[in-house]
Amino acid sequence: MNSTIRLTYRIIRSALDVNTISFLILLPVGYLLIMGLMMGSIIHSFNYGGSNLSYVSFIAPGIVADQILMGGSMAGWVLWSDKRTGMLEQIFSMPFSRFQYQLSNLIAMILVTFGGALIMILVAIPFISINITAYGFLLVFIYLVLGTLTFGSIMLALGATVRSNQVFNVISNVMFFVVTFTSSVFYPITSQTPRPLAMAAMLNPLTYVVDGIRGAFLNTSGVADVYYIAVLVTTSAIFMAIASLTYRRIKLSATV
Amino acid sequence: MNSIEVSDLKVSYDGKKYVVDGLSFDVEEGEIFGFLGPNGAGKTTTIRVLTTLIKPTQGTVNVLGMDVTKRGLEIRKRIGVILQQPSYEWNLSVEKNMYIYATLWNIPRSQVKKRIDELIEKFDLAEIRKVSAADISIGQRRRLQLVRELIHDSELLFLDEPTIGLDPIARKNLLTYFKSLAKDGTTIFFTTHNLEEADFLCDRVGIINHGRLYAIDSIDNLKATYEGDRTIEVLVNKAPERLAEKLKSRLVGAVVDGTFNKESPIKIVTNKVPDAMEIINEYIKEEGDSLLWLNIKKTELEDVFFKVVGEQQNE
Repeated sequence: MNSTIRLTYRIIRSALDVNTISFLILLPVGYLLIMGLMMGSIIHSFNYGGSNLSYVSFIAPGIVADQILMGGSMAGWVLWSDKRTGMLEQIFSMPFSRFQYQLSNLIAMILVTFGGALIMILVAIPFISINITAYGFLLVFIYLVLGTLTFGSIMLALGATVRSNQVFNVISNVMFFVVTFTSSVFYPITSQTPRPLAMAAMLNPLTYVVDGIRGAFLNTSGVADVYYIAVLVTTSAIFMAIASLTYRRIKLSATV
Repeated sequence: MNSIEVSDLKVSYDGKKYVVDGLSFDVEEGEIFGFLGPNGAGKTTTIRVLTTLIKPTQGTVNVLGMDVTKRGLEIRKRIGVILQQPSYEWNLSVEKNMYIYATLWNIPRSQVKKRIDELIEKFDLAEIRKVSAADISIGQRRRLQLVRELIHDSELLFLDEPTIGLDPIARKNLLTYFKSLAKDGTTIFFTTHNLEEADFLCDRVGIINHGRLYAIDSIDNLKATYEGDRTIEVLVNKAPERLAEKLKSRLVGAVVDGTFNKESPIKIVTNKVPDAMEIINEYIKEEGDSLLWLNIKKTELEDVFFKVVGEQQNE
């Protein structure tokens, strides 16, 4: 078996135990079904991009897009945890290069994102109206990959830099909250949105992933996707460069 | 043929101070080489260079005939490394930890179960086989870390203080196993604080302190070098620090060490036992102190280590 595949398997196997998988599934399912259906009882339907949408149909693409945060945070957590448990140093003393470890971590997080996204789509289908084409699926694939690379790289940089458990958890939880709630996951960004929040949404890469996936779900994709993808290619390139830099500077334990 | 060749190795982490300062030594194929030194001597840094985890600042290092700075990946395919730092997959059981490790080493599926079963039985891990690594004791985790490394074959095994945290039975079991590996041709590079272990296991030892190698030879030759020396252990009641001062100032060439409290004896390595006894007697008369414990013994590896490191520190 190829070294990168073996490392990827190890990362997924060591990161995903039953409790973690339950959390990764239950949290977004909770958002989708509880929040989607509860809010749907007061927001019956509204116009979005020329279509009349139920609230649950509106947030479903957002919850699917949110899986990039799940995959990304796993990658950062694995790196941080491997540093803490000594596995990083042990793996580096085995026949793997540092690049292979980083690549495996990226592949693992993309696989986890896809797994999560697939589960969310399957859970949502009975409750939403969806009009996706093969081209739409391709777009969803591209958005998920680019979004995961962007947020995964941010989390990898965090995992490479931070030493304390508390700091890692606090930063990742705050980031998760801020990124999710300043994007268009739960509400559309319109001319009515307060200006600072609209600005925050515009600077937030998750907004582009959500809007892109929403367009694919509703079959309203168009020229805007070129812009969204260009933004995400740029953010993923910038954050991957930052992640590589911090990763290269990881100091293994300082015992003499 | 040499498995390890080190020439004028220097390592600095900050660009100012060398933590390894001009090491040169060879380790022959099939040999068990012990690397002894106090805390902070540079043992782990040397292992990190040899296992290609860090690059040397200066000097040349060849492992299995390959330059560590150029052929790291190839070297790492043929070595086994048990690092000082504990490492384990905290959320997986002992058995699954071993399976993951076997996968990383690409052990054929047909052999994995058999190997794991053998190692689990040999190193008494059956009871905790299904228990998560997070729920076992520190000693059991260490045992898992050691046993895991034995899943794959290696030509050269690096052991950085491998027996820390092990109970005496597990320690003996493991050391005996390492001896059998060496008999089958595996070269072993072993660092330890425990000189009894080095005495039991190693063919040759090197004594390192402050990044420099101060002695390197077979254990028998090192003992012979200090043949005339004796180790005196003395415990007094009132003022051990004053006795230590007297011994240090008057016993030329001796190494005097200890914590100088009333619980642990002062240790003196010297070839002038009568002079030392005279100074001790003199102290007892002057201070009106009593002698609680006195022991004079022949030179062991521990005394050689103590003398080499002590002499160097006195300098």
